[in-house]
Amino acid sequence: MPSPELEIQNLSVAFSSPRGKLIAVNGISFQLNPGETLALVGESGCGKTVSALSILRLLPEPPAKILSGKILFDNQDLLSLNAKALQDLRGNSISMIFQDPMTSLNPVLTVGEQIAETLLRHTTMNRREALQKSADLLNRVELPSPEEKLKYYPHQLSGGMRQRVMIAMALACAPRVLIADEPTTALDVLIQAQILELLESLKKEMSILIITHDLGVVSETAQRVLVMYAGEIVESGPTKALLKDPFHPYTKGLIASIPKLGDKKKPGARLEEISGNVPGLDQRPSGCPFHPRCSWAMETCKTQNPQLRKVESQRQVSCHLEPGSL
Amino acid sequence: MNGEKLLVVRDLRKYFQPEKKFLATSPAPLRAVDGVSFTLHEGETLGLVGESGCGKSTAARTLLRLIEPTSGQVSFCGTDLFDLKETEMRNLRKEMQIIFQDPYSAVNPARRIGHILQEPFEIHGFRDKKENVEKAKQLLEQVGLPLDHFNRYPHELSGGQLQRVGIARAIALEPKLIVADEPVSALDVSIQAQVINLLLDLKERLDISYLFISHDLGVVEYFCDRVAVMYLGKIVELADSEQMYNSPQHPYTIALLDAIPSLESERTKNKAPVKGDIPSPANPPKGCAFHSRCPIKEKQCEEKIPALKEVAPGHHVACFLKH
Repeated sequence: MPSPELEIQNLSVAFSSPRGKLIAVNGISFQLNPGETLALVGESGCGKTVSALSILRLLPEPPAKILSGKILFDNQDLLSLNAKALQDLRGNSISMIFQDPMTSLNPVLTVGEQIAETLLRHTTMNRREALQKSADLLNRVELPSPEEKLKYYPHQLSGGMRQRVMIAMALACAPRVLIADEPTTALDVLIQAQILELLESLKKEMSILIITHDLGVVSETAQRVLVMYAGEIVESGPTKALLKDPFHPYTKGLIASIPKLGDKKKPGARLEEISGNVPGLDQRPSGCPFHPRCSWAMETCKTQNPQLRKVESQRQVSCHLEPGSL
Repeated sequence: MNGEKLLVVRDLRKYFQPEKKFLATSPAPLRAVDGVSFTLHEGETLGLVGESGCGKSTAARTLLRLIEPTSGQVSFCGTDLFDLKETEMRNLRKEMQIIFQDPYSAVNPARRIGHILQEPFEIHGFRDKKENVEKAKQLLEQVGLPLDHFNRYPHELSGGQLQRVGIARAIALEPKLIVADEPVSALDVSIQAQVINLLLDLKERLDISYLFISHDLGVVEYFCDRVAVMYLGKIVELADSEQMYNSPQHPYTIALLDAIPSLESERTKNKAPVKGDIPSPANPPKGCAFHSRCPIKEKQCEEKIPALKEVAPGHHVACFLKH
């Protein structure tokens, strides 16, 4: 086993609020291996974005506070770095792309200036070289007529084009790790297919952590997947095996509740649903956080939160049930 | 189709005129809905799908006269909607309701849920306060919400719960038609199934017909009897959902279906044969509006606009190469 590119150990993140301390991420650990595409999947409020933002320390602190944990990259703990060292890292060896490219781009700077900014910060290039490289990057992300696009402002581009610009910026310094937070959620399905194809072509060059709520996207991009619920990882494993034969009732419910193309409804048939709602951060259930919605819940589930345990060589699940008994 | 014709839409158009700048010539109108025709039968669910900006929501709002049409004809139970006066239209609104995508912006945040649910009765002249409260409580029960939500405010509910309130409000006056405009798009995956099941239950219990607008072809196939695919203000394909999914004809429909990430398949090549973005409806391409992105276009596609023609029983396609 090669050493992981990025390792998260026992990370907990909380937000201070008038209602007290709200725990958004509750002691998660995972590794991103070299050359791997790993998906972090879950519904809104499960802590997937907070986890991702913590890696690059992008959460505003306060109200956010990292309670515990280590984020190991290049033999150093990112949580112990000072602001300058973090800036040297961001956009250089670890970059990030976000869900909404309109709010993540600066509306008053041209596309060229924004990409060049990254290069000027992290390399020894001069302005002209940086702009030339920016055009190359736009070409790399298949934006038509890149030289001309350098002079565009974000509002002159469509959503899909803006996402390509974001990706070009993220690629500028040839990062080792790319964190993609819902990169296609705001896009139409045809544009989503184009962007996924682009991400696919990047896989060879870097490790990718993709955050999404869409199991279809997971299935088509990631080799391995982590399922999050209420701030915890409830299941992990190789994508194919996990989607085919989920061990956690939540994963199973999520997969079953999606209408799949081709499985035509029978008259009177209903979709399988997970009852209840995702708990708010201030209403965390006791024991296993999923137990109020789980149809297999037992007495133990109400009091004891199961630990994430290894069940097969590459699979982990946190559930009191024996895997395979669903 | 066994049911009577409930809603007949003929050549519906809605053009938006951009503001004329000082001394400039009048800009071309934005053709949001550009000649849409379809029929919805009683008890049927018709899906309207397409990418953002294709005019599906504008079509729905125009046919309900929430915005005034540019031209066209819509008849509902035999009444021509565009001939009606404002007051007559309001009366008929009892029969046709709408559910919106974002439940939070669709309700008044300063009113309690109970109040929101009594409003339809008050507006339509049911004066008995006590009875209205009773009916509002029954509505809560019908959509599977606990009674203690009656005195809560919208912000105290989750998105899924509030969407149930939106649905309760829509069924309050026992309408014949509900236009559901992306009713599950803003909801989490595990909540989507709950809301879809609720809509299916209500259809059976209350005999409602749906016009279901969505960009999610998986949900549409599951939920709808027939599907219309829109592109740049026009319907490009219309068929039974089974036909549509088993043998899609229009290259746009085929591309849409291929582009959906699926749980089973791995990412195969050529999932994105369609390049580029949807063109602006203010400046649509000449000829077939899809030709600029079409993988199989021919010379004629750049010059003439293909009509929506029946290629198999009940299966209509607007493409020269399939006629």
